[in-house]
Amino acid sequence: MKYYLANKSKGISILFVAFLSIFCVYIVSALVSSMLETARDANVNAVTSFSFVMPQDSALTISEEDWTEIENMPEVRAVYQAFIESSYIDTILAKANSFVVFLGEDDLNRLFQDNRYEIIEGRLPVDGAYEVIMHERILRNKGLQVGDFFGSDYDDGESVVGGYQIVGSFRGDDVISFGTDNCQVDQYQDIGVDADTTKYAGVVLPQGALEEMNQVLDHVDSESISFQTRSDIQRQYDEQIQGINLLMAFVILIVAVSISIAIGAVLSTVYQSRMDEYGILFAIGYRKRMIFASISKEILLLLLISWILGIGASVLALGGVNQAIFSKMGQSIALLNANSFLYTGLAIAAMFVITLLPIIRKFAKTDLITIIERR
Amino acid sequence: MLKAENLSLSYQDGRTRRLIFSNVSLTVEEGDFVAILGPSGSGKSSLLYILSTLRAADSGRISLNDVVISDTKKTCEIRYQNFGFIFQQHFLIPHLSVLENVMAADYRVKRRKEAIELLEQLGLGDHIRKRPHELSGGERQRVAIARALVKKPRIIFADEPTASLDGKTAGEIIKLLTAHCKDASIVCTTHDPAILPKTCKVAHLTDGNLLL
Repeated sequence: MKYYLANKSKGISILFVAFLSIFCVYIVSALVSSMLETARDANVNAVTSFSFVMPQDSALTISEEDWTEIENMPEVRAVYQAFIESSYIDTILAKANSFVVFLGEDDLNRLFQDNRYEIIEGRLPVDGAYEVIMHERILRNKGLQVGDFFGSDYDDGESVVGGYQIVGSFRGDDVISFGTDNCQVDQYQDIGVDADTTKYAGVVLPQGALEEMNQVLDHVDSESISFQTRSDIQRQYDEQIQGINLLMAFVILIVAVSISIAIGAVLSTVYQSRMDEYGILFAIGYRKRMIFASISKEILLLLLISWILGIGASVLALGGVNQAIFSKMGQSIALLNANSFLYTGLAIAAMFVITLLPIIRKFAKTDLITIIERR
Repeated sequence: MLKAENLSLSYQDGRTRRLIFSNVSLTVEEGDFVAILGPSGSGKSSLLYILSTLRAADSGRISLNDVVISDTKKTCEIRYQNFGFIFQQHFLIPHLSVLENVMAADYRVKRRKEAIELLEQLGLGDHIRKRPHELSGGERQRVAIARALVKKPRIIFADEPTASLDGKTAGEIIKLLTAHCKDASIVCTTHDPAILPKTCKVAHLTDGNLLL
């Protein structure tokens, strides 16, 4: 490192370029991780205490026969008749799904008691009114408050049909919204569909542990119904984010390789200009691999300093972004997250290898004694 | 101590093979100052490089204390353990201080105390923190001498160590070298016999032959 202390401008240029790349990789991976984590929270964490049963695509409702069969499963404690709609939550980079489940008032009360949800503001929706109660994180994400209205009647982009008043918010393991009367169901009723007996979907509650029930439900092979369990949603979610993860890895690889080539070009010039130094060290008894180890150590140390500085700056920047934007949207962001460490670590490793390769090649081909002889 | 037997060297010059020297034999005893003299291009530097294992000869054998060193792959270790080097150019590492340059000679032991003592003896006590570019040509060459001596080598190989210096400084450098090499042998190439001490053994390399 003494070389870079004596040649500060060269050291600072390399540090700066590597620092910038680490900063970019960390910020991008932290933002994507945050988006994925928020989407996961709204999708997978929606069904932490129960699962859903829905008719297969071709059917509109669940038959009595199927319903009874589910109710009679030993792993199932109860099935509540429900109508399930998908809303959305915002993340910084995309929108993610969020479930809104409409149940009868009694079932909703039981669900809240059984799952020990804590109503932190307002009250539960009641029958005969278009009302919803939202998980506190969804409410914060949507920038809404208890008393506000929600649904396609109030927001053009909202996928939940009709209009509902938010009458409460709750805290609990399931990140979801609940309502009682549903506008679409009521329209069906107007054309003669019996709301009391028609089973559009169901909330399936476990007799014991949810995982045990889900293991059984995941293996039910039926042409008329399908279950949406936590593992099922997790699997769908993983499939969806696979592409994003691949894209992110690709972008990081491209960034790392481009930056490495730039740093490699600078370093190659630096080490080319130091061949006299290596020539004399070799002459006085240093082995080539010792000289090479010291070069590797120098480069590694430079990159590690950039890594630490890059991560430090990223954490500070993300802290600011979190304070200014994320916390207001209810989007969680981990300032120190494993993915960002992994990706920046990979970027550093790529830079190290790519910058070292031409130097190894040069070293292997150079007769160091010739450098001294030439003089 | 150092014994070279029947060394030959040639190189390819276009389509012809040019002989530099052949059947050169030389013995350097402990404490000897051996000067290899010869005109430019006579191959004296090449001979020094071969004797010090920096280069290999086409044929012949070199042994150090009866151990053959010319056909081993551990030449770095041999040089590190036994030899010190001074070249025409000082080859000091520009970003290291004078003291660090001298200490760089030994990668196993930090010879700080010996390096400082040696630099003081060579009149560089006030310059140990300076960088090479802050020194004069003679001072730089004295630092190179300190680097060669700090490990207390058995043999110092000096390749035209005074060629880039003026006559007065060149004489001083040789005096310093002999004064501080009481326990070591010196093999020195030069084209200027005037700078050599009276006690040295002189070998002339001319027309591919070494004449003692």
